[in-house]
Amino acid sequence: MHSQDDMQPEARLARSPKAGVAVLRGGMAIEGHAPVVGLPLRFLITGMLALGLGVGLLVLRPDLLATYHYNQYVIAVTHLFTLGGITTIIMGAMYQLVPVALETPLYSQRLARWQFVLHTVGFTGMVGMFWVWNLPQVGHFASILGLGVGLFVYNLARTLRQSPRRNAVTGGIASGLGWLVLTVLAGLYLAAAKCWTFSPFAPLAQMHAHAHLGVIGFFIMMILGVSFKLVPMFALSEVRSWRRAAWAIGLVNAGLAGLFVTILVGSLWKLAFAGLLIGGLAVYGGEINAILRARKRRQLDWGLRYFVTALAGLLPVAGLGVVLAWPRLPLTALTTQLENVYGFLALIGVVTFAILGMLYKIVPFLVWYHRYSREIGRQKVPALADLYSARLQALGYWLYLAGLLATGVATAFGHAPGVRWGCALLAASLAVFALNMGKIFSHLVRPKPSPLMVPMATPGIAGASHLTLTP
Amino acid sequence: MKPAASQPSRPTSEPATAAPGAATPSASTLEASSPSEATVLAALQQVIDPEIGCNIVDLGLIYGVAITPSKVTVKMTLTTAGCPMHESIANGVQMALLNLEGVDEVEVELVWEPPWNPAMMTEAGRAFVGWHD
Repeated sequence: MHSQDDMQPEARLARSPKAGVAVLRGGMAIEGHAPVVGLPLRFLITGMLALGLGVGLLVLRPDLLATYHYNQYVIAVTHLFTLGGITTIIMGAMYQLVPVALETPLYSQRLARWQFVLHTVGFTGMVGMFWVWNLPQVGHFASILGLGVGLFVYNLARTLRQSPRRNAVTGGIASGLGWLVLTVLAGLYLAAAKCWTFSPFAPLAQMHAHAHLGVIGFFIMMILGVSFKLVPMFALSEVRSWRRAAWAIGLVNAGLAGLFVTILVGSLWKLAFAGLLIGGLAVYGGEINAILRARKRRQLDWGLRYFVTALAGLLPVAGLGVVLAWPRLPLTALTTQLENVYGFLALIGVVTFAILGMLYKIVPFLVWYHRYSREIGRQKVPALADLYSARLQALGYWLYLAGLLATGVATAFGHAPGVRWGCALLAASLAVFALNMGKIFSHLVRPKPSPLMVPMATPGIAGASHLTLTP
Repeated sequence: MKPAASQPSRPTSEPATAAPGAATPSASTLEASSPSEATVLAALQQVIDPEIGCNIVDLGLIYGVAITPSKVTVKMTLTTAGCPMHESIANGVQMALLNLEGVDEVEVELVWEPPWNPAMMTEAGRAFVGWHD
């Protein structure tokens, strides 16, 4: 299915070097696996805009978090965050990272381009129709989105099949794809159940089960899977135990499967499956901790700090999950608000924060690759860290943490002004993030290479060279 | 400054075929036109791993260099299999060496055995990433 359109020009060049000038060979194919830059970037930029819009809406409508979550506006904004923001970014990142992580080219970039159109039309229509609570139209747009998800899953599944490796990375990604399909099916079922009364399950239970499938099954599972590749790569370390990594994926999968069913049917066993899931996350945390302790790159860059801090956020989320899964928990104003905090922390505190960290790795790479990859060896090119400001990263990090804390506390107590101030801090952090992204993207229009220092030497006799560097 | 290597092949003033009666270049002439290993390594130090920001020599990615008249063969690895930068870095090695006087052909042999590990970094590389034993 690979057409010439699907191959990046650099890969073609590498396959047909000018005879007698430069020869590439090796024990492994040297051609690039990453797709062309425009494909992941269109997903990433769309997703970042949706996240910004979502936080902006929360600043304008803090009551969405300060009151109970079962209303059309909360559902609309939640889908703006989950489908428009997080899912779009994860899809773009997957198109970039999966070929890299699995060392195999993407099956088809053409399918991915079509999927982008279906996904964007689908999620914008869904959010709009949720807002005006037109459920038949929600179902129509969800079907368009679902078709796009089908293309996404098919494309990545075919890519996974091509991969020579089978480990916790492939297992995590494959699991995430499976959960994504189930999440979409559960969502379509929910919409249909609202239009025609046929479902034997309680509406709230259906919604909560659907939400857990999406957040844990797709978002968190994808983060777990790719982190076994990316964290060692960025920290100069290695996975310490592939067996432990596989156990983490397996336990989370088993816990989520049980949790989904027990939430749906309202069983008291949901606490046991929550425990199983948390056990998997604890095993995962143990492996990530071991990887980081063995790292050779002493100082973590800010991108990794965002990511690791987000993973630490799983602790309070898991704690809240246990409280909320407790059998016969009394239904009070506080416990219902804690459900809001639980969802907010999982989506914004863990998943979005981790994604911001990964975007600080992915976007500079994409821009660098597009602008400088052909200049390396010809001119002095900047490193990825030279493309953005570490100070802005630090400022954004602390603003985000402060925003999370303020919004979380205010949400718990249903305090709308506090939610507004907390979300304003989050918005400020995203503005700083956007500023840094602007610095990165500025390299696309104004590249900043400098002349290479070409070594001049007295040629000939090995070991007798007199080296000088001249610009 | 437009670098010489923006042209993939170095233009040569040598005729393709020696004129009848012209002196054949001696072995010492060929050797004299080839760069030394130190020159090659210095050129490779201009190529960085963009993610880490350190040059590929100090990272310990260069496993060997073979220099023959007009051709340099570099045996190298990358920090991780599937490194997204592998194509750029390998092309960068070619371009950096084609900049050198007396190099008309570069062969980059990318190998994964032995796998790279941080202990292969030079002292300068270790200092760069902040790793001290």
